[in-house]
Amino acid sequence: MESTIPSTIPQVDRSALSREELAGALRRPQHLLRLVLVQRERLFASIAREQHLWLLAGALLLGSLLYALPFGAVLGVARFWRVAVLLLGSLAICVPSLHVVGAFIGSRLRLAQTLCLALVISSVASLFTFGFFPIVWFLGATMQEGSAVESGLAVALLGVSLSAGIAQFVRSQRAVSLLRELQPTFTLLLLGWLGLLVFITFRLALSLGLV
Amino acid sequence: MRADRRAWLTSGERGNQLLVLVGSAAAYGFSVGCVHSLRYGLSNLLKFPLLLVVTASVCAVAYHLVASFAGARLRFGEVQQLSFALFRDASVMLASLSPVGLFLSLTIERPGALGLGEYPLFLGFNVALIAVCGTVALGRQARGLAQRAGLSRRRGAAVVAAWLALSLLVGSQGAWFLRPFFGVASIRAEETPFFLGTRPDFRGATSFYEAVWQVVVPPAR
Repeated sequence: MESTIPSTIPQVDRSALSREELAGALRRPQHLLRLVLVQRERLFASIAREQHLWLLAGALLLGSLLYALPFGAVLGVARFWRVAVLLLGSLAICVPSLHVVGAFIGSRLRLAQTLCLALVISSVASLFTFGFFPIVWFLGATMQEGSAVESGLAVALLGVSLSAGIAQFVRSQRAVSLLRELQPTFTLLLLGWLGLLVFITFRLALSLGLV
Repeated sequence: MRADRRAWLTSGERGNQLLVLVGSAAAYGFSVGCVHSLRYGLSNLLKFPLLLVVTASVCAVAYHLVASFAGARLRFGEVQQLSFALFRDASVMLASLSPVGLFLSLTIERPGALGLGEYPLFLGFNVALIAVCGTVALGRQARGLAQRAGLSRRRGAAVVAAWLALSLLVGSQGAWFLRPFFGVASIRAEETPFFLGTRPDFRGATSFYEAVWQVVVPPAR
């Protein structure tokens, strides 16, 4: 029987990311957007198939750090590091629990896989903050100094960035679970863990003076 | 626009499209500014295009991220062309309505000592025009995005709606900063600066969002 799928629909590439591509992303962090958002099926395949995980973690970590800096600088040049610390610090606090409790309920994920999955959140959130920093700058430039509305909108956009990161994490978790045949209890654990991450991120934002 | 059916635009074509946007926005801005005075109309020749170009520029990176997040396999420049086309389409449609706007500007009952006359009608009419033109442009670009980026129509519409939300977030504050565009004719044009910036309005609001909030919850007197 002939296929009814039009030939114009592009086939999704699900091959794992190569060492050269990941090394390239480490050298040129601007390629991270393509790896994390555009070629996400390949990113998920890399995590599921355990291909060059530490290199991938390095690229995601570097991207999370660099792309969050402009947003932080717009909120206060002297403390430009705050948003990067918020995104990576909350993960650093929460990732051990994801890995250890996951192991207890049979997640069968290696530490590097758990780390890469978690870093998907910070890298996507960081990319979104990079997209939003001109907006926050513009709002700040067109409002009176110290406006509560400006800081409120900045917090809201930070929340949107974190939500985008979590949404991408859920997508990646689904793909990885499917590929590695993980049990549904792992999905339940992830939901609880995401709640914990949001709570810790909020508390850390308070401590850093971002909220 | 014919160009949407073809491949991506060349740099020369992009320049032409920018001219179309600027010219169209200026024409519409002039027509509505004339409700107050010729001086407001002339100011709007610059302010309306400036508002659209600043909004599109400030949101450019966010547009690209949103499209990529939705799975659109488009380059940064391609996303900018699509989002820019949204503004251009809305501007061209509004420009086509500028004779209507100008006619109403010149013929409405002017605000005076007894009240605002037909100014609220003019204001409401223009808000409706902008909403209709924006919606038509949005629907058209959602179809274009779905075709070009290999997205489902629903997802294409979601991306364009997100672009619209970002544009409103920035554009509304930009419009506040650059105000006045229309104005009540009882305020003398010579007394009004080119833009009011962060100067408080009659309720004391210093930003668009404060002004909206004060409409919902009026400040205590």
